[in-house]
Amino acid sequence: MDPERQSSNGPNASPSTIDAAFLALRDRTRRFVVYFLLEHETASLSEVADVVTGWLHTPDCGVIEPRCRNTQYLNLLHTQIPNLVEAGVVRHDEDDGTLSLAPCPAPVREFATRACAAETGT
Amino acid sequence: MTLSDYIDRIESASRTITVYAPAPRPALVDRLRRETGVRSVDYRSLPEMTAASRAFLVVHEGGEFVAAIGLDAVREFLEPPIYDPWAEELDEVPYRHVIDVFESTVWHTLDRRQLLAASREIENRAWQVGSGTLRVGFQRSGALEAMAPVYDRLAAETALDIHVYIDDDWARPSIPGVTIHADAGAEIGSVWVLVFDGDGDELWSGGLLAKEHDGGGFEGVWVDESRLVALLDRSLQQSV
Repeated sequence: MDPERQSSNGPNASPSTIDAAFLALRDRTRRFVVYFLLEHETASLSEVADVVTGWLHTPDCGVIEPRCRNTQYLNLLHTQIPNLVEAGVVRHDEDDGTLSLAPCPAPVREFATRACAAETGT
Repeated sequence: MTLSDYIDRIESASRTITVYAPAPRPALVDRLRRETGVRSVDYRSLPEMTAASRAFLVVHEGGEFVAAIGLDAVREFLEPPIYDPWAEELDEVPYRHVIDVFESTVWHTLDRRQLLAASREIENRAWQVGSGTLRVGFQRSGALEAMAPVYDRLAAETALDIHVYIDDDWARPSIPGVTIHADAGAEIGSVWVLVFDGDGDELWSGGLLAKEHDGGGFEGVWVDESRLVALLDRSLQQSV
């Protein structure tokens, strides 16, 4: 039996799966997408664009205008979400425009939860 | 059109607010529902480990994103600090974002402090432009008397054409550079109004109108759009 598959973290926790997920989570915008999905499991791409923009930028900018949010929406749609989907962290239902957390390995969720506390807790 | 009709003419926008915070904020949500005239105010959670200072709200109009604002700025506007119209601090105060975002929104309940903060926004524009016409309704002479030092300086240090309106007599010395319209009519006695024409520049024009409720407090709106500012200017002049 492949020793990678004997991990206590389930059948998906192969080093290459974790590599892919951690590589995706090296980007701050992508991490904030995952933080919101850890809280709500499923959300529309439109709401995630609102939330990621507001959460990342209101502490410094005070107010976020539509241009900034709409740029973020396109960035998510064309770049960041495909990357998270490719890495197996997020699912994107393009028919109804919703995002949800993929059943990714426990270490990935744990890392994202700790990163969320470290990054949004202050 | 009279000033009383003006607020009714502002179409109530189909705005919604969603508050994002790590814990429910029922008091803030209730106040926004009660005071802003925005019909739908909802709460959505952020992860509980998120710092309260990172909470924010998102405003939509007809389903389109209008703005996201930090909740600290929103809370500040509910009890805003007051600066002089020429104070440099005004450039930095977070509550200015709230005034920007809620332009053309009829607030059901505003107190004098909030109206003074919104008025300072318009007076600050007038101060910065330094020319053009500023019209201000003070209700009664006592209110003008309290603001006389501010308007004295605005008139002395700018080329603004300043007209002020009161419902009663003005028995005190005139304020150089300020035209005082005493006994300007009963309507002036029941409203708080400012209009600055931006000296023709739409980017700087602005207006504020608030009507006093019988039981105290005001219903009011501030506007930036030049058409609405011009309409308020005409309504004010027709009312006196």
